[in-house]
Formats: sequence, structure tokens, C-alpha cells
Amino acid sequence: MRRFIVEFLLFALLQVALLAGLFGLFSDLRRVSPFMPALEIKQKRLETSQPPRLILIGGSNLFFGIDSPMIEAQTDFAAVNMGLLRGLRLEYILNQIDAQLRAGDLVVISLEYSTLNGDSMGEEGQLIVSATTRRLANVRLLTWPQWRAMLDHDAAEYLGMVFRQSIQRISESRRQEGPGIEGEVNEFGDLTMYHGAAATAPADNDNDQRTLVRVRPEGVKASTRRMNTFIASCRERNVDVMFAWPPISRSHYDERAAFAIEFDRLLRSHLEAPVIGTPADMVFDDDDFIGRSYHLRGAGVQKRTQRLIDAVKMAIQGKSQSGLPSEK
Amino acid sequence: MIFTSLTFVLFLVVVFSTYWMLRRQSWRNLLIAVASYLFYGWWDWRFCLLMLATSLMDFGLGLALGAARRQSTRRSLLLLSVLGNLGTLAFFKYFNFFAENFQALAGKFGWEPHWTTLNIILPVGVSFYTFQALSYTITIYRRQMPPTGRLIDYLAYVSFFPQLVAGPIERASHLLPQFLEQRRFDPAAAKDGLRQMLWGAFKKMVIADNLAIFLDPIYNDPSGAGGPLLALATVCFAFQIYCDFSGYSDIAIGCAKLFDFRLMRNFAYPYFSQSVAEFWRRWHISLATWFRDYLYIPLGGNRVSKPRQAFNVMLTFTISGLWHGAAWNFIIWGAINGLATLPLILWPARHRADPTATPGGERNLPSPATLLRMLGTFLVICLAWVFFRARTFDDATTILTRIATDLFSREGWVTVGAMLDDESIHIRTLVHVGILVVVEWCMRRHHHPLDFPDLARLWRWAIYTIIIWDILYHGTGGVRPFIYFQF
Repeated sequence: MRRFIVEFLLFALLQVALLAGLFGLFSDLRRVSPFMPALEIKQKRLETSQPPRLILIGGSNLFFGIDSPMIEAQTDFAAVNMGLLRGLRLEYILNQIDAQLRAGDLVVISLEYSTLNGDSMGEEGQLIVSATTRRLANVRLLTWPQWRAMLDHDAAEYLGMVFRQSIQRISESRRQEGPGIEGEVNEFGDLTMYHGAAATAPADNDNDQRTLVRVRPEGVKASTRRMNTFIASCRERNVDVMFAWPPISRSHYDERAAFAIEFDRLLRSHLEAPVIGTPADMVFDDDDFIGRSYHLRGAGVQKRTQRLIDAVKMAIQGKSQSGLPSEK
Repeated sequence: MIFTSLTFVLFLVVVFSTYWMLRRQSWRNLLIAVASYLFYGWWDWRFCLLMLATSLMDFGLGLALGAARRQSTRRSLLLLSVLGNLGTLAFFKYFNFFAENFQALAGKFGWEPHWTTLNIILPVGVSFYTFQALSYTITIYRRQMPPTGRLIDYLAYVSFFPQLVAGPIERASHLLPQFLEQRRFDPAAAKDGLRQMLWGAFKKMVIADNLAIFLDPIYNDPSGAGGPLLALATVCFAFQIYCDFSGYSDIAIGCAKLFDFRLMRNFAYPYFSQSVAEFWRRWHISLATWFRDYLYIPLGGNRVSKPRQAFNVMLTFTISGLWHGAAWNFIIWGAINGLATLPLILWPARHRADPTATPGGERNLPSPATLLRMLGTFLVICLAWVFFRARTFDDATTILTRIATDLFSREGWVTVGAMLDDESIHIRTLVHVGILVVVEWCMRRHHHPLDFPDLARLWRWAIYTIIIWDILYHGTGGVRPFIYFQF
């Protein structure tokens, strides 16, 4: 028995060593998820900053479209932009900040429409494994279903993907680096790559295919229930919560306004926190976007941040819950 | 829990370590029972309740059968067991099929009964453990073994996790005594088990799962595909289902060896068979012999007139088809196999291939006649697979018609070439199928192709590493359920 175990362990160690060598020399995790390095910056900021803080949570609409220094300049809050990828799903996004909230904090949730629907993008598991392997302490953020999914399939898929990429890189004559964002994320967690400059927009943005394509009332209600649990827990800790809509381009909104209005109606009827503004209030010119939805660039980032600041201020003062100025 | 998932790897490590740390046999059996219910409940805990209920029923009936003296009482008890097990199976698997067909038939006579179909979840592997439980009561009824009075041992026998959801379907007289015997760790058997598991994982993850990616879209919508593409997809399905199911069996048998259990062989290189009758002695051996022992022979087997024998063969194969799924396609698949088997059953050849004999003969390269017989058998099997895989009867006839009328169209072959050209993964998968055939041919005298305990360690480890890396590289990455779970 002992000999069998020793031999087995030796073989397993050999495999681990070979794989570690392969990954160490050839893997490029940026190809798997280029945004992940920002996660560490965001989590570090969340852990070290002091209340009162304005903590933004959601997907990449926040990562691309928020100028946190503007928030700090115009409010008394320290800004923390936790928005990264909607593929991390609502559960993970909420869990990420839950343990770090302090009395006096204000949480602004800005979820993409597909996240509200609970639509799957098919890459959630990979992103969660990636976020977990990036920072092992993140295992505590996983819920039991996420653990299960990770063990049942996601971890194996992720390992296979990293392995294939590493092998492919060996055969590349000139090794291409994946799209990196190092140096392009500020200390608040904002992606600054597209700030200020009129960056060239890709001809086709995948986000467009997933924005406002349908409303799933049961999905929205489930998301709202989860948010309500979170909101109740925040209230017990003297933390305020608000919801703000993600940005969307004028042409896209004009095509699909009915969906947006329905989302707004559903959320207002079920969410137990103020919804600041309407989807129409977050409509911007097409030129402000990379593609037509969610990912703002150039002046669009400042415009969106300004509207958000104004809406938050108004909500805090209790003057209005939908008083955002609109370009429409 | 799926064999190819990380969950199962961790589960196996924990169960294996705990199992061999326990000294008492009864504790080991208890561990196997608990682990098996955990393994099964990983899909849905409610499935465990059903399995526990049927197991308790058969355990009680087994004890009653052992105690009963009068033949009429024994017969009634057996009937109760058969009705209980097959009733469970009928309810979960066949209720909607029979209800729908009854309504359709009644409608033809102007009667429109308003039966509602039920939204029933089919418990994974219910057909397998039901047959294994039935084997227990039938064996006791036949006085081939006494009933066990140890409930835990019996629960462990029915639920034994390596073969719970897709077999091999064990006979009580073979597996149950192993739970009662003293088991000792056998390093050689354990190593062989790990090798067999590795080969099973390779077949499943590299070949079966990749072939599924290629052929699923074609079979799910055959209307747009030409004859050559449909023919290629059909051949691919033949290899997909072989690699999927035999891969599962290899992992199950290998896994059982780690715990010092010997499960029966389930596949013996079936595609090297030279007749359909031989194929059925090499394919899903545990089910084929189950039907032989508990249906075909009780019906009279070979000891009756030729017409009656033909009827018995057709009935056995048709019921075997129905066992696979509640759909006419499966019944037709069974009937085609029955028809193809008939000539050799009714007019046996001079020498009948034994599943333990070397498939394809002893020569290193098959003779042209042997090769032709193997190819002919393979084609008949592929013809039947069309009905097995197609979603509906109409789809199956469309596929066969198109293959028959359009197989040699130049345009169709150009489409196949273009499709393979576009997706290099498909070419790589077909290359793997070729490698599989060659390796299995060369190693066909062994129970599995990685049966090389005497090879130098350096070579063995190199081969294992190549296979593991091939799985990591060419595996689909996803963890796809095994096809036979649905049965």
C-alpha cells in the first residue's frame, strides 16, 4: 500500500511540476481575462479606504465609465469603483463588498440589463475561477452553488484553457502578449485607457448583442430579491444603498426603449432601495461609446459621472428620486 | 457526480483513503453505501429516496423469499419484486410514452381520453440499478444464493458508486459475495485500475466529447445536411457512443479495482466483430447477458422450435431497445439488431466467436475476408445507430434516404471537406479516432489497451503523461454527461 501511494504521489508531483513549469514559462493569463489584474487594485482599495465611501458595484459599465477622482472632488465620499465584469454575476459582485462595508458607506448598484435578467453569458464560471486563482483569499466569496460549479466543471475548463494557451504559445514564433491593462487602471479601480481621448471604437461590440434584447420578469424579480437581502443587511449596518441605471447609446435606446421602461417599472415595484433616475437619463450620444452600449469613452465618462454625482446628491437630499437631467 | 469532474477526483481520493484506513469489513461497506448515496445525491437528493425505497423493498422480499417454503408463495414474492421494480421503471421512464401512444391509438378509433402526461424527472441510472436489484431477487428465487441479512451490505451492493448510474449491471451472485468477503489491497490491481480509468477518460474526453461537438448540430437538424455529411456523422456517432459508454465502463471497472472489487467486463472491442451476433457478445455485455439469462432463456432460448426461437430473439432485442428509452426509435433500433442477429442464431456458423476469444482473429493484420466481415458488421450497426441517435423517426428516415440517394454527390463531399478545413479540431478528432482503432487493434488481446504492467516505468510514465496532456489539450474543457446516464 505504502509503495503504491509513494509511486502515485511521485507521478502526481511530476505532473504538477511539469504543468507548473509550462504555465510559469508560457501561460498568459491576460489572454484568459485581461481585466483581472484590476480586481486586485479594486479589492485593495476597498480594504484600505475609510468611510464614508461611495462604493460602486456592477459590471464593466462602471469599470469603463466612471471617473472616481471627479466623485471625490465633488462629494465628501471616498470613491471605490468595484465594477469590473458583469460575468462575475450578481451573487459574487455583492459578496465581494459585503464583508468590507462600514457604517456611513453608500453603495450604488449599477447592474447591466442582462445581469438583472439573470441571463447567462456562458463564461461566468471561468471568470469566477479566474478571480479566485488570482487571489486565493477570494474563495471566501464563493457560495455553495459556485463552489459546486467550480468543482464540477469550471475549474477543469479553466485548467484546459490555460493549458491550451500555454502550448499554443510555445509554437508561436513571436510570442504575442495578450491585451494588458497594466498601468491603465487608476488607484480607485477605474479603467483610464479611454478617458479623455477619442479612442478608436471597434466596429462591432459584443455588448450590443446582449443589451436590452429582452426582459425576463422572473429573472428581474430573482435579482431584486437578492439585492433586497443585501439592502436589508446593509441597513442593519447603517449603510445606504441606491440603484443607478447603466449607460446606453441613443440609437440603441431608440430601438429598444420599451424594454428599458419595463425594466425600470419592475425594479421600482420590487426593489427596497431608491432607484436614482430612469434608463432614459443614462442615454448618451453614440460617439461617447465603444460600440453602442455600456462602455463609455472620452467625454462620455465625465458626463456619466457628473449625472451620477448629481443624482446621488439629489437622492441624499431627498429632493427627488428621478431628477437626473437628460440629454433626450 | 460525473467521473470526469474534479469533484469526482476529490471524492475518490477521500473515499479511497478512508476505505483502506478502516479495518473492519462492515465499516468499509457502510462507507461505500454512504459514499454511493452522496455520489448519487449529487445530482438530486430526491433520487436517493427512490433508490432507498426500492432497495428496502427488495431486501425485505429477498428475506421473505429465503424464508418461504411453498412454491406459490415464492412465486408471488418474486412477482411482487418484478412488479415493484418494473413498476418504478415504468412510472418514471415509460408513463408518458404509453399515455401518449394510447391516446393516439384511441384517437384513431374516435375515442379521445383526456389523460394528462406528467412532468416526471427521470432519475439518473434508474434502469441500471433496477435491473441489478431484480437480479438479486431472481437469483434467490432460483436458489442460486441465499438472501443476505445484512442491510448495509445489500444497500452497498445496489448503490455501489462506480457502476451505479451506467453499469456494468452486475449479477447479485457475482458482486454481492464480494461485499461479504475480506478485501485486501492489491497494488497490481489498483495500478491496473488507474490505467483503465485513464484510458476511459481519454476515450470520453478526447474522442466522445469532441465527436459530439461535430455531429450534434448535424443530427439535431439533418434537413440541411447532404448524404456524405450525414454518413460521416453516423460513423462518428458509432465511435462517440462507443467511446462514451465504454469509457464510462472502463472508469467504473478501474475504480472498483481500487477497492478490490472485480466488476464484469462490459465491452470487448465490439467494432472488430465479424457478425452482429458477435457484436452483441462484445457490446454492453452486462445488459446483453442480463437479457439472455432473465428473458431469452426463460422464454425457451435455443431449446424451442426455430420460429419460436426467432420470436424470442426479436422480443428480447425489442425489449432491449425499449429499455434504452421510451421512444419508437429505440424499439426500431432493437428490432433492426434482432433481425440482423437472426440468421446467425437460427443457423449458427461453424464456429461462434466467444467474447474472450481474440476479436478479429489471431493474425496481426486481418485477412481481406475478415476485414470485409468486420466492415459489413460495422455498416449494419451504423444503420441501426441512425435510429438510436435521430431525434424522431422522420429524422431517421430523412438521414437514411439522403445517405442512400446522395452519398456519392461531389457537392456533398466538397461540403464535408470545407467543414473539416474550417474546423481543425474536427480533423484532430478524426485522427484520434484512427489512433484509437489502431491502438485497440494492437492491444485487443488485453482487457484494455493500457494493460502493460511489465513495461519499464519510464515508458509507462511517458505514456501516461502523453495521454494526460492530450486530454488537457484536446479535451473539450467542458464536463459533458455520459450518454447512458439518460437511460
